Amino acid sequence: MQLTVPQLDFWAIAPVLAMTLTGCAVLVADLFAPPRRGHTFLALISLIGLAITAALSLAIWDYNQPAAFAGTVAADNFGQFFNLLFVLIVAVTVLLSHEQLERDEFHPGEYYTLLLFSAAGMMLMAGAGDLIMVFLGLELLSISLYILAGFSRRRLESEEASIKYLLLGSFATGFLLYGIALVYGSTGSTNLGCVAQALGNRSQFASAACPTALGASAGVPAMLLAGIGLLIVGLGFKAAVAPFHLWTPDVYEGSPTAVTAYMSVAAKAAAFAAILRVFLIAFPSLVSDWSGMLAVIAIMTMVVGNTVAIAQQNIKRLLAYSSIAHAGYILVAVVAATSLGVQSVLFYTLAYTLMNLGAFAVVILLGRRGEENVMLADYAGIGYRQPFLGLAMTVFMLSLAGIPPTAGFFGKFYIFSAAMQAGQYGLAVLGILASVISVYYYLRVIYLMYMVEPSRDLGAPAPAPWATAAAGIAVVGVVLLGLFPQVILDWTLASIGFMG
Amino acid sequence: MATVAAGAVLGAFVVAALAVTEYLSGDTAEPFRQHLYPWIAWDIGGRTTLIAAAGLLLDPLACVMVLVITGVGFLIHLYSAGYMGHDAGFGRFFTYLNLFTFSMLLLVLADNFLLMFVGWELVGLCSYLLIGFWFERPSAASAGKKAFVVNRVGDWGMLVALFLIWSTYGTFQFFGQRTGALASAGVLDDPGRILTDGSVALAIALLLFVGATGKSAQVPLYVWLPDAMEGPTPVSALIHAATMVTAGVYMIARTHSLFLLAPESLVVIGTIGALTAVFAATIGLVQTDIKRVLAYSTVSQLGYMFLALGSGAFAAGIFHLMTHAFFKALLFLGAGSVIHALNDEQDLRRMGGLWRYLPVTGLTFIIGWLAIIGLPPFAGFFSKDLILAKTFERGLEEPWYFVLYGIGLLTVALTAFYMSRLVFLAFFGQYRGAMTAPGITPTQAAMAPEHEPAAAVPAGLSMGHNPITPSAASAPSAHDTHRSDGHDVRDAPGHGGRTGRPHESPPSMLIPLVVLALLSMVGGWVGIPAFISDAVTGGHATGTPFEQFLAPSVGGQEGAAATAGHALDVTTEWILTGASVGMAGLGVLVAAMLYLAGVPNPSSLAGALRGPYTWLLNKWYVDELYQALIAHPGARLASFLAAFDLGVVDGMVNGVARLARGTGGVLRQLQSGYVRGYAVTMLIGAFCVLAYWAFRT
Repeated sequence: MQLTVPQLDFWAIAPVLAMTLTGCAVLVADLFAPPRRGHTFLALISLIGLAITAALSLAIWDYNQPAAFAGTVAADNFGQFFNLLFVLIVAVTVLLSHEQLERDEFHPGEYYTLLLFSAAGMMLMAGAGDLIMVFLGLELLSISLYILAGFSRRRLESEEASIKYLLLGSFATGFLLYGIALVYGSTGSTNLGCVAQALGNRSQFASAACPTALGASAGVPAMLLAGIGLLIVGLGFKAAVAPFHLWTPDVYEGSPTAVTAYMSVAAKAAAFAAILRVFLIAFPSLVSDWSGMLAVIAIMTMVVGNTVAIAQQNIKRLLAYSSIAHAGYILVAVVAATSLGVQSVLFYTLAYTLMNLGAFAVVILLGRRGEENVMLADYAGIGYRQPFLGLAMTVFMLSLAGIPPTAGFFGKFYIFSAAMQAGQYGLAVLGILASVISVYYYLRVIYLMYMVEPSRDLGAPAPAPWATAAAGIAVVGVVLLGLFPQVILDWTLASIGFMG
Repeated sequence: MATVAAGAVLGAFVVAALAVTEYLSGDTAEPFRQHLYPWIAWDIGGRTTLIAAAGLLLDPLACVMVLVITGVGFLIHLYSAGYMGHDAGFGRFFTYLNLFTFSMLLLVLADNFLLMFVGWELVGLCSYLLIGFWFERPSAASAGKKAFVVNRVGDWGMLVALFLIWSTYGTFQFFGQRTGALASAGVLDDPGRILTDGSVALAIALLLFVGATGKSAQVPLYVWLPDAMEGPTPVSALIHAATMVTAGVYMIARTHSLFLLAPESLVVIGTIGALTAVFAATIGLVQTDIKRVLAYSTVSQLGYMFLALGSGAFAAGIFHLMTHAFFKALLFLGAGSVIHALNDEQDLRRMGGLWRYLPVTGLTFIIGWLAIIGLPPFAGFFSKDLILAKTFERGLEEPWYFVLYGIGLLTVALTAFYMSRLVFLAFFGQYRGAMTAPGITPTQAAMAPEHEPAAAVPAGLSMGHNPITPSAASAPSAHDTHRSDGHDVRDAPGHGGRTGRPHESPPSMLIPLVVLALLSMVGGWVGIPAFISDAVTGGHATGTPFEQFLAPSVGGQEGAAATAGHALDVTTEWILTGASVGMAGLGVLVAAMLYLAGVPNPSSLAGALRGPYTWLLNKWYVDELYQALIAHPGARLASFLAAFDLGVVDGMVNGVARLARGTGGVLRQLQSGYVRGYAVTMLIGAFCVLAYWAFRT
């Protein structure tokens, strides 16, 4: 057997390398960090590393190397869009976590390192050209998240969240791996481009050494369909879509709030990036086979997320169910599988990132030392006691509910337009109905903040400039995205070259 | 505070003047356009189409509007600094006023329907806020509400027109882009290219006009404007005379090429305009509140503008808009000065002889009066004459316009009469207000009209025993009693009641009056008729200079075609001019006989003509009619719907909510907290996914 060393194109993975090296740098710097200001020191290193990562992603914008490293890495604009999104997510999370780390006496070195490593995993997922790479990225992300979920070691809920996430995540990984194996078995390759070619489509992502195509008469083997089904299960677990969502509320509730914020946007964005990659590169010819399946899942997800959210009394659980519902909306656009659909996935992921991180930032800012204050009743009267916090939360809730002129409105608008354009009228109507339900629980938060007298005194807030900055960035982002959606829409248009 | 607010508008005026100069020094055939960014662009059929830009457009039409808005606006800001000086809401007032100026500029500078609509709605909001500025007074609050609600009716038409434009043209841009990635045609670039079906054009035109009737107070939606006088007087001058109410005129002139596609719509506009003009003028004949007279006069003059638009003389309409902005702002500000001088007295019956106390106000007011009644060489003469000539000219083609011309001519006489009546009652004769009345509070004074010295002089038609109905003698107006306690009560306690001699206003209020008076004198000269200028220069001008200036905007070849071939000969022009000046003179003469000479005595005349007089005093009972036809059934429908809503709709909604909650409750059962349960659910889910394909075929 002859082994060929693939061509090493380090530009294609430059952002991932930078992210990984930043993580290593934080680990090392932790040893030398000044004991008192260690948090700030490490946070700054992380932010610098993130800036470098972003710069590298921008530098290789339009680089378009779809089959680097023997087809395992696809460095195209789609990947860079998500790389930049992940940088934004991690950067805001670093800001969000700063005061919480101090307040809850977390050890910062491991915390930042795990954040950065998980981000590297996500970047590998979004830039994957091979199912194995999807798997590797997913594992890197998941393992980091399992630890982060249990980071609040003194709180039993945090431990519980970590263990639950680990057990169920491993279970889901099993499905994913089995799915990959079945796809390999039926097509002879794990490379996304090769799989597409095996199914009779030319693909720019195919590596140099693809096995021969299946015969045209072979039809679609049942084994391949089973593999696709299991991939849906594995990736759907990460994206938290029904019925693979049950872990979400428990884990979100138990994890430290900053980690919850991070998980709720990052893991979801990565999972959808991978779903788009896998389904639109490898299986575009089977769209009629998988889109119906995804449509059913999307409906279930929207219904479950929105209806159960109504009954929640804990804001973290409420946001957990809300995040499930939003995964459903995004899935609607995936089902559309048109260029507008993919554009709206990218747009929505960004909009959702900003508004959800913002909402969690407010949750963190309302916490006090030793008290999380995460019950909805704690939000009574906030609009008057902390007017800016109340205003910010109002913006996020309106955006999550999809009320113009916020980012959330345009996100939903594009998604449902894409669905209608693709002829998925039923799905669009159901999605709109589901989002009408959601208005109830989002507005309830606003109602509590402005219309209800506070039941108890939460005490004066400790100054939290970092988390406040995070909330500020999110507010500005949500409003700007609502006012100038066209700018981002142009970016998304430039990012969907992979659809061919 | 006032310095910042007025300074901002002055700055806007300077910038506008510079921009206009810059623009006019170039090629004016093409509008100047500034695209900030594509506001809404959408992928249609594989290429990106610009639906609406965040963009501005400057062409001769916009030049006129911008200069009027910022110029007159600045004068009114300056005036307000003096007029509102004592008001507790000083800052709030200027905030609203500045917001209004911004919105109005946005309206006239927008380069697409959608952005214009944003300005359109914003000026409506500002109007609402400023009418109800003294919201603690129920009458002001309800007047604001009335204005808002009536305007919604117009906005309905406007919105539906926008929907139709969108579905027909697929864009909201007025004019297209020739180059660039977003190159496309706009709505107004030859709108006939798409509208093969005349009925769609007619629908768009009429619906846009519905919007204009709301904003510009035309029949049947004019009812809000007189009530809008509850706002502070500078607001009446700026918003309800000079600028906002002319938005409808501007809008139709801007989109005139749509209207030319459906000539029937122009007939409708002209007819409504003429009716509004004469109708409001008749009501104005008998009003006793100085601001109400001016309000009805505004409605009437707006009617003239629409008459011009309906005759296809878009430039004439805009010309009258401009001169009207000058003299009506002057008249309102003068009225404000009078009200200020008399410590918030608005009733004409308690004025008189003010000329002696308020020389500057009096002189400028008289200039405004001469301008509005259309005496040469004041501004109103040129614009009104142009409108009437154009209407007559149109009549050569379509005889119906002769009728409209006749109505317009009659209105000239009515206008001259009611304005002269106002001037004679307020500024001439003897002062009938109380010089010193220590024991009489404003309320008592109003409740006891017999205390007034008014009975001693030939006062208004309605002096002494106000014959609105024989039984309601003490109330000036049956459903208008709130006016009687003297309005514009800004801070009545601090103001010390209405005692003391009338005093002239401070310079900050007088300077705007003087400037506006100058404009009312010379502002019309830019529209000197061709037959006069030709007689002087021996040239052969096509249209007035003002029309030529606006030609790139509103007098395109279609506009010219509407009036081509029927240019009136010089003799006819002279006769028409003579007729309108003659009618104006007649009106002044009758008013002078009644109110200066007292022959015949106005009160006995009112008694003799009790029927028509009461009819007019009650404003043709239109408010009552709307109350009976719309508000009352509306309220009954509302209560029925409320019951329906509670019983049926809410029941359904609550049912759905219960269903959602129930679903949530059931689904929550799955959320046991046990990992094994979750894993099993996942497994079942995975089996379902696989089964989906297994059983699908």
